[in-house]
Amino acid sequence: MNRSIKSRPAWVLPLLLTLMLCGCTANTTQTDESGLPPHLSVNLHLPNKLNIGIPQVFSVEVSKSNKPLEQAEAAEFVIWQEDKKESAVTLAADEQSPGLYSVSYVIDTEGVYYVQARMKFEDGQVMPTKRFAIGDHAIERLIQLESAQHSDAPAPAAGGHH
Amino acid sequence: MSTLQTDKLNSITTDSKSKMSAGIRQSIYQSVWRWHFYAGIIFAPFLIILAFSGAVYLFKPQIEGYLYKDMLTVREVGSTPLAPEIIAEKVIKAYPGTSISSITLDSNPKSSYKLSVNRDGASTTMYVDPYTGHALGMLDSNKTFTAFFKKMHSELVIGGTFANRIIELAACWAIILILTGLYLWWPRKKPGIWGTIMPRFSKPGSRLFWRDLHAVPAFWISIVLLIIIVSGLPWSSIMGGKIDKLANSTNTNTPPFAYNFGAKPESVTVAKDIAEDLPWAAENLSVPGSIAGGYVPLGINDIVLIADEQQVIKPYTLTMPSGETGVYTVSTSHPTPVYNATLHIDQYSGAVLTDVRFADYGIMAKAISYGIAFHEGTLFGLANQLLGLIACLGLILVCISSYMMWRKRQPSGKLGAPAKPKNNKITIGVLIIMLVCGAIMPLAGLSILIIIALDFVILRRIKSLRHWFSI
Repeated sequence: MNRSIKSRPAWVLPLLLTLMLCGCTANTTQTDESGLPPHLSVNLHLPNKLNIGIPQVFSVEVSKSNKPLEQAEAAEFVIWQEDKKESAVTLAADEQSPGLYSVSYVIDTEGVYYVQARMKFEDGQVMPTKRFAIGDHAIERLIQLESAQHSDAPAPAAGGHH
Repeated sequence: MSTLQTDKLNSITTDSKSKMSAGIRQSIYQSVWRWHFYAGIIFAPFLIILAFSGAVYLFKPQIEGYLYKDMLTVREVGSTPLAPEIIAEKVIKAYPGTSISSITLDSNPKSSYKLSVNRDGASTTMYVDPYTGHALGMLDSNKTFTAFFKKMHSELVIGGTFANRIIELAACWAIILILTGLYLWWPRKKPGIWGTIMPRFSKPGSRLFWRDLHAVPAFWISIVLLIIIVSGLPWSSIMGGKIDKLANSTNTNTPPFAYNFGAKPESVTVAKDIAEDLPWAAENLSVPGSIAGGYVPLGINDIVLIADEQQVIKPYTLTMPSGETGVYTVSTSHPTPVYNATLHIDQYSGAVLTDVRFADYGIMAKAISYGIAFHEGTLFGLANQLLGLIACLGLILVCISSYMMWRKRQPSGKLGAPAKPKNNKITIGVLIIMLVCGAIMPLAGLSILIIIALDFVILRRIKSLRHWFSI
């Protein structure tokens, strides 16, 4: 009994000191190869070949520190045609495998489309967006948009995705 | 030996001992006074400039709020502000050739939004009505009324390394002046309030009058002034660098990416994906049908959504990514540091890559942030500003009264410096203390070494100079 009372300060003091010091030092967590603390990473996949009238599968992989993020609080894909964001379609995504969420959607008409995966987790949220084009005119337009984006030039006349 | 004789001998020994210690005290006083005198005479003009410009800059919010009222506040408060992206689009449409580098959103419904823009190669600040999207005016933030005083305060208007070093030197010597001044002020005889905490005005214009107008206000403002000077040191280049190093080595600085300036991370999504998404442009053209593009940068509205979701409290500034690998940065601009937040967000995925809040700072970074807020008079509102103002005006008064004291004392043909103490050991002892101060403040230390060199090489060798400097 006595021994346990006497021995208490021996570990209480270092513990208190550690706690106090922790309160004084900067909160620096483990960083990855880019020098960043753990953060969400995404990989948005579009089908290699997109066809009109056939269900297309769009999927997104979400991970944190290379671990797939399962059971999203909210997982949806928003798809809209260029300059028609007001008629955007929102689709609830299913978790196909750990950290992989996908939807299937049929494109009816040719054009430049935007697809955005809106994912929400306890640890944060991501909303990556990609574009795709179906039809010759749309392809030309997409090339125009992409080269403008990559050359840092002003957005072409038809505007961005918003 | 009789008891009487022993007592007499003891009393003689005590007397001579007390005389000796009084002599030592006098020598120390004399030596400290000399340092205080020379430091004061050299740096008082700079301290007056710093105090004056600082006093004006303290009231930047009120001054600019009045001068630029039409730009900073909206004429009519609308029901809901427009989405930031709409505002940006309107601005770019109304002013072709404009690019927006950052937008500051305010929670005050009367405040305009502040946009940092680049117009034909020139950077300026545009104030926009958030309800209409119309620009209320443009202002070069480096050319505002208070910016001039800031320039005076931080680089003596002329700018450059030399001015910066002078300011740092003046600040370091001001600390020495306060410490030596407190030593000189310390009541040696019977403690009383007159001449220590209350000035004696019985003989206006006398040396005593000016002495009290120097020492008493200096005592009252000493602590506040010391805090103001020390809290300004992190801005200085040499001491600032040392402070930063110390904070880093003790892991009590801010975590990486804590500010919206300096190094920023890169968007991780672009680094990984753009390259593999690009080849389609050349290869797939011959096979028409469909193609998939790469990631599209998110818009301002998305970032605002993320910032709100992350509970970043307005006002905050949203800085656009620079280039393809850049990040969006959301950083707060609150008067008190406790709400400090800096988030770097992947421009393609919206993932928060780094999120540094005040709570994540180490103890030194916290103290420095509080110090800076106090220095700028924003820590506790008007009371903080008034305290700063009292310190600035007090410092000017102390400089003026010291000049008057000196003029009253200055004998003809002499500088009027306090005489050099006869006890060389004391002179060296005080010099060592000064060098210790110099070791802590390297620039001041360097100036002390220059003074010693001047003293030995020139002043002591020329008789007329020796007489003038009371060496």
